[in-house]
Amino acid sequence: MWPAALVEVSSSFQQKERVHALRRLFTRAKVIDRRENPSNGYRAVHVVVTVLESAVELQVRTALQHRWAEWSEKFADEFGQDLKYGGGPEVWRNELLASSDGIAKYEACEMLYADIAADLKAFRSMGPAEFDDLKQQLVARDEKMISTRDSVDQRLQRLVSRLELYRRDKQ
Amino acid sequence: MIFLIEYSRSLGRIVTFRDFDPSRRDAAHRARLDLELDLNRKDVDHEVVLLEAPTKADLQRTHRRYFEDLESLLTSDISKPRPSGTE
Repeated sequence: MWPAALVEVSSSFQQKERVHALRRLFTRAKVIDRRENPSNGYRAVHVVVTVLESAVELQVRTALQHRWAEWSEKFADEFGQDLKYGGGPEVWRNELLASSDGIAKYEACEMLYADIAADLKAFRSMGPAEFDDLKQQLVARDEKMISTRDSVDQRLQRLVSRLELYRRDKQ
Repeated sequence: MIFLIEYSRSLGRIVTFRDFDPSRRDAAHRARLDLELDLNRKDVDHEVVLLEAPTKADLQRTHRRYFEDLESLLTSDISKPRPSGTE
């Protein structure tokens, strides 16, 4: 196994840019994109580069992807390492998968928002009607982002409540 | 700084924690190996990991699972409501 380094970025848009930058810097880098095909819920982009003839894995994660990875590790600590590999108690496995899915939805919105914002910036010379249309798209996307983020929070809240129940039952 | 962590998954907490200046990288690797061999000899199933971060505070931010319990990890990640009128 090679050494790994965490590269945490704040958004999915920054993640895309950071991966591009790494690809430009390390032209022979191997990129493993686990966003579209998550590994049991784990989403991130791993960029394996060679430095001084040694392979180093750069784990490029958004803040939310990183948090999910920490939840997954911590759940696995308590409920068994199989949880990370598609096994373990179904109830926690499903909760983790659903949380990961919620984060993926939020990040898809975030990416679209960034694209629309970039269009808005790039086409300052456009007519007022087109400008207003883009602005409205931006507002709608912002609202969607807030609602998808709320869903992630609600799921987390549910997870905390389930854990409390589980602990109470165990006592 | 380089940090050597021995972590008990079953207890969910750190058992031993040592730090090394980056100039003592070899010593950190040796200490890790010694610790792993010792645990192996005693048949103790602990996670042993060598991590590098500018400060311990940075490590506590990037590798929270070693320092926090599951509930606090989840609860602190629920985003705070946005104050109104700040958009």
